[in-house]
Amino acid sequence: MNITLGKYQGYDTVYHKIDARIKLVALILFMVSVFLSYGRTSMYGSYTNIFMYIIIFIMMLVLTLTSHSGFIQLFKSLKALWVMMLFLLLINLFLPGRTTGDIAFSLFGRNIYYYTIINLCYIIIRLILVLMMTTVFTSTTKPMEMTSALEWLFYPLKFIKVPIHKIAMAISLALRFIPTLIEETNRIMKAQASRGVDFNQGKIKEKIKALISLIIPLFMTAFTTSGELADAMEARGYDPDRKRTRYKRTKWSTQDTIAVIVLALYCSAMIYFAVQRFDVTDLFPGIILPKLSN
Amino acid sequence: MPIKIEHLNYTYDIGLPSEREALLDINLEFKDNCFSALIGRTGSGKSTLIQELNGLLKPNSGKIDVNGYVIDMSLEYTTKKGVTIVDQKKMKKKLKKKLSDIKSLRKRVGLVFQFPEYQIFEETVLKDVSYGPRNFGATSEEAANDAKEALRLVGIDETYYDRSPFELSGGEKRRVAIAGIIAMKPDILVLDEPTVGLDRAGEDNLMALLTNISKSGTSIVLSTHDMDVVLKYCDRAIVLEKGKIVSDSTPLELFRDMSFIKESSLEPPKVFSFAMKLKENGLDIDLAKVRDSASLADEIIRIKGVRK
Amino acid sequence: MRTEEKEKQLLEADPKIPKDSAIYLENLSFGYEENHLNLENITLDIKKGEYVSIIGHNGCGKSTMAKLIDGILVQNSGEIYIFGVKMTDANALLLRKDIGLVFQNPDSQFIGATVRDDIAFGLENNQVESSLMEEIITQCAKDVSMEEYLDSEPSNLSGGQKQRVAIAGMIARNPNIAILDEAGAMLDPKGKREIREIIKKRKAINPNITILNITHEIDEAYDSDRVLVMNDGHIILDDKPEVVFANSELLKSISLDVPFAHKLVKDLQDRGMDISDVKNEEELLKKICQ
Repeated sequence: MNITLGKYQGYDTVYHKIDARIKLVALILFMVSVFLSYGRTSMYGSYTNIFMYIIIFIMMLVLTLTSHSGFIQLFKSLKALWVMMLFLLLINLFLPGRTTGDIAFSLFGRNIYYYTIINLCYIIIRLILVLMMTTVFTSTTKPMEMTSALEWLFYPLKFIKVPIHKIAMAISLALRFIPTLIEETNRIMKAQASRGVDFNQGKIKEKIKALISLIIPLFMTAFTTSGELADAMEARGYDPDRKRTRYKRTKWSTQDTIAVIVLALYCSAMIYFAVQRFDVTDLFPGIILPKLSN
Repeated sequence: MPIKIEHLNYTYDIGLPSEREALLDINLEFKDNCFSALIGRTGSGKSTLIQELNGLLKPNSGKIDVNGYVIDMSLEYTTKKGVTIVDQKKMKKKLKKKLSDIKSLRKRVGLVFQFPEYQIFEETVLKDVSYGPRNFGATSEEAANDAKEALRLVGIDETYYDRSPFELSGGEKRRVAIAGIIAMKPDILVLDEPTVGLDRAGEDNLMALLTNISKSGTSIVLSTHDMDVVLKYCDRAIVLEKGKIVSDSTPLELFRDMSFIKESSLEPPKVFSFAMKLKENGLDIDLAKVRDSASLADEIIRIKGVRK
Repeated sequence: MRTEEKEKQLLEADPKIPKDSAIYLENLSFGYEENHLNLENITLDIKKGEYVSIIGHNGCGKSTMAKLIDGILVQNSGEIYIFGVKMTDANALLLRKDIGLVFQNPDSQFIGATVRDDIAFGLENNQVESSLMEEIITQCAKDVSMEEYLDSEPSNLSGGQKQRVAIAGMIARNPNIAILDEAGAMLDPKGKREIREIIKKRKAINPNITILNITHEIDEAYDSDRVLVMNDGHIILDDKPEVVFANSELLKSISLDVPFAHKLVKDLQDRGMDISDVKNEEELLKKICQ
């Protein structure tokens, strides 16, 4: 599975330009809309959910493609998930579940209900949708921007004495040092390889020793660096308990306004559908669907 | 132990946007008992070349022969259209066979990185220095003996053996780290800027140590920015610029070549420039004898005598 | 109003300290561990506008002294006066606003995600208004010739470039006291030269700034007005560069580098030549060729 799924890709799309805070709120709202319950009729319930999900899926697809979010990687990762889906299918087959509604077919002497199939579908679709959303977010937003957006979002926590600013500072420092620590790791590996360490071969005992020869120097470097970093921060007047001004780099642009409007529209639409208990059967009157419950 | 490098090329990140040519057509030979300096700016390819010497990096094309151990990446064949290309598949196969034996290369070419004290990790000084020999198959007893000998060479006495290396000062840690490589008994010792961050005393001690090692038969290749060190200790100066070797001669020949020095923005050692000025002013200084301030003083006294 | 009044109180100058003093250390002692003092009874007066070099072997206490002056470490005994104001726990942060300290490791003092963010860090701490920051950042980057790299990340910069950014960060806070703790020690000769040039430039632009340059490079020490030689926690020499470096015996005995001209004179004298001390190479050249 490709672990670089969701890594920031520096393309120049409109999504990259939108303020990270808007994107964060959008992400949360999209996720909520995926977990809302749509539909009215208990007999045909859940079909509406699927229908809504398909609409959201099409939206996400458009977003993913237009934002260059590594669609191929996403697809590959999803392929890896088929194992999990198979597992889910098997569980549902062999565990006693609901025994209501229309039967789809029989397998190995057990009855498979439409209800089971539909539910399975929408667990999988939800997963795919959430994955797509977060990928679009992380591949169009720099880690630092994400941290600032999170800091902004969690601001109210300040009032229950959660030290948001200190946590955000710690996170941004950690992010800044990831490439440096990776470089250091490579350096140490090379130095130890020059002393005859083979990270790939050898018995378990040797491999563990090899790992220790990598981890201990890395930790020592990390600790020394933290100490020096703390001195440097203090030397530049850092006081975690005192108020600090912020270097704001992005101005509000038209894209941001449009994004907010689109988001607001989307929200209202979703809430309307949920509240109005809009149902698929409204769209296609007279359609015959297998019953999901009696 | 001779090292022969032929037409070596190395490029980082081939195919990625960050692709960068680091070494271009390097041809170099190190014979026994040399004390060579590798000079070049950051980005000149020095570190890359050093890592090629002990197989940490494999050349993209070209050949390295370390006393019989050969990495030969020049497996070419000509296509029907008459284009000569390197056979990647054949290369990978040959490489795989070679690489299983790469450990023996690492033992023969002892590589000391910059700030080597950062690779220390064992609980005691003796254990850390024994780590290298142990990895190359020595028994704990053999390794301990090799370690003790190496520590003696670097000037660390027995009182340190059972101490934690992390308690030591920066200079002491560096010596322990270097001992860790010397204990492996390499045929050639390669050091990447070993004196950076040391004060005068530390630097003098280290260079004295390297001179001793060189006298006992181990060849030394060190990369450095310090021209005083090059003049005083080395018998060969190789200058790298943008991945190519632009000069390979004795320090004397290098520093004499004023136009080259200017072009490459190297700064010759003060003692040498001063000696040349003396020569310009009529003193018949034998530049070959000038290695440091003391030897220059000898030359001046020889010519001018002691004034009363 | 109350904070301003409070600040004024905390920053009252002690009348016994001379008015032209920038840094005054009185019997300052410090030890990282018990039973061992890294700095012993240091008394020192550095005047406003002085450019002072500090040399000494690794571990002699120079960095410790720098950190004490900046209030990052707290002394065991003795007092520190910055522009006549005695440093206490209460006013250390306030005094630090006027002191800049650059360390030697390019990586562990690069705080921001990009060059911009790093320079901004000090401004944020000083509660500079957001609207003013952009201009200051661009100007400071220009001052150290890094304006092309404003959006670069540290992993794409060389050691020398990162050190220049650290200095830009200090310039941004505009302190009247600038301390450089071996800022060029981990750089190649080009990097060292660049740092040296920046220091000279800043002094030329702002003659009133007090500079403390801790260094191993003898040539840099010659740029300064005054050289302090430290050894094992004490200051053993304190004078103009020419005077200090004439003491080749002493400097050699504490394993310090001696400028080439002085070294050669000493070597000639050791071999029996009757030659007196010189100030620089030109003089030496003349004397030898007479």
